[in-house]
Amino acid sequence: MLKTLVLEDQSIKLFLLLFFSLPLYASDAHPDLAHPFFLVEDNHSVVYMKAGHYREKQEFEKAKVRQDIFENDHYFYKLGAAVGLGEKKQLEMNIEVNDYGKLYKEYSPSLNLPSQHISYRGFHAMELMFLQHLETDSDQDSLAFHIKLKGSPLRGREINNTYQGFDLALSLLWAHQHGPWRIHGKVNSEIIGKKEIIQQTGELEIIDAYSQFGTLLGLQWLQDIYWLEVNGLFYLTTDYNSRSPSYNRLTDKGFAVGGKILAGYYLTPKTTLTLEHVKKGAQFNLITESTSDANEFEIEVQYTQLGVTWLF
Amino acid sequence: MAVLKYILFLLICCQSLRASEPLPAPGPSYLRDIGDDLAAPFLTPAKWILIGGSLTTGMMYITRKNIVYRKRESFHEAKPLGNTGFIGDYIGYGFLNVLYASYFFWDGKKNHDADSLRAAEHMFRASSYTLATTLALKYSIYEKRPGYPDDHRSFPSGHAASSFAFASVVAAQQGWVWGGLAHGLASFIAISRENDDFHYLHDITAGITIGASLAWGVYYNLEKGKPYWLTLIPVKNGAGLAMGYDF
Repeated sequence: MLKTLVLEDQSIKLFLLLFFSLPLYASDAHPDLAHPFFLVEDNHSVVYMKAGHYREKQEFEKAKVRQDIFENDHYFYKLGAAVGLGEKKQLEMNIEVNDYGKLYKEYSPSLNLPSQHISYRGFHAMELMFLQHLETDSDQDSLAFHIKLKGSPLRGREINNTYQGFDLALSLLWAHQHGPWRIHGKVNSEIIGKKEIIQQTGELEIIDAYSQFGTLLGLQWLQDIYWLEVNGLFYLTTDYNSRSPSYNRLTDKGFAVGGKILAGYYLTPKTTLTLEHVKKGAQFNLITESTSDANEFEIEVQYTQLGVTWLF
Repeated sequence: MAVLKYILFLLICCQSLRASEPLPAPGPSYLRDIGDDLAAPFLTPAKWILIGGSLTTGMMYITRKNIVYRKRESFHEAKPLGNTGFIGDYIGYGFLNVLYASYFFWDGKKNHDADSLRAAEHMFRASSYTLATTLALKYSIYEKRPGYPDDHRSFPSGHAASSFAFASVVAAQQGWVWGGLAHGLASFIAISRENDDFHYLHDITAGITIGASLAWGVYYNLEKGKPYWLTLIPVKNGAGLAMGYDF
């Protein structure tokens, strides 16, 4: 409780500092920083900073009975930059650190493993992204190809929650604007890389690589100095399998559903403030019609983040 | 062999609408048109759909592990569409494609509307090539279905292929408002196939790639002209493939 209060105090100070260090005015003549895949022009750059609270809950069920439950809870800070490379190309990188992290693990009684409370903080992951805008017939339309690599060069350990392995995502992004409304979306295919995580007990847990394919659809309402956005996503996934010396869990397929609400505000013509809430859930199952054979993984994630973006 | 004959018959039949439309520069050979259309996903801007879709299919296949074939259906919680998957199963057999082609053919004949005839021809050609390609792959690759291992026609998904051929033709001919609705319907049909354990994810992405790339390839052939051509030529003891390029 004390830690949470301290953190909230720090977060408030940080954002009040950011907020008041900028001249608070608005203008009609600002770049479209609200665009879901804003293109940074050659010799320009964007810097952004985000902070928020993240919660993740994983449940494993067998024969409809809950076996294990893992819960992560932490605050995160993300610092990133994007640079325009010319010819409608853009390179972006960000780094994420976690603080005041707590992991609670409770295992099935049959495994005979004790429940655990683990605290963590420090470097989590980095992302490298490349964006290529494509030619369209109309100024109201945008089309882009996006590649994202997420990972960490460090060894995955529960005690610091370092992200393990590398994920690769390829996306086709599109947007169409009609007056103050913009509809946008993406078709995304992604490989979530193999994870090898050293648990607090010293055991090595391996989560096999799996893939997901799906689409995101979003709607923006654009006003002079603010905008609102809602979006939803649906992914189909391949099998999610994890194993350690103490357990072995297999599934055959899965799907994920999620959504986001976002409010954005132009602090200056080249500075924006955004507040967003994201919630998504994934479910993985065996192909079986018998309840006695049914395995089920449920992974629920939700986070709220506040971000500031500067265009230079 | 019977399947190959069936495919050849379909490919030749799908040219029957050609005679009734007013497009310029008809080819001297039906086989030449078939070759043009089948090559279109490689030689027109539709190649980006083919490349992106093939990459996606590879990405979905590469992580497939620990496959145990179970002659069962998924438990209810494993189905994102619940028990409504049968709807996608029924309407995904190409009924949408046939309805669309029939309506616009009837409309074009009745009102002497060249655009309607062109839309009908586009759907007919795209759907026929999609069907032929899908069948050829199903009978040559011979992959077991995830929930029905006695059936070896899992790869690629014919429902996904035909429904995305339909959606792509609608988007190309009627614009992206109708096209968006058609893509929503096609997505429902494609998802229903994994929902009901008839297909793996890579079967579905492969089907989407085949249907969309052929439909857009035929569109570019119809609308933008064709700087190249492919044709089968008879040679001693068989047939050869010839390619030309206009410049």
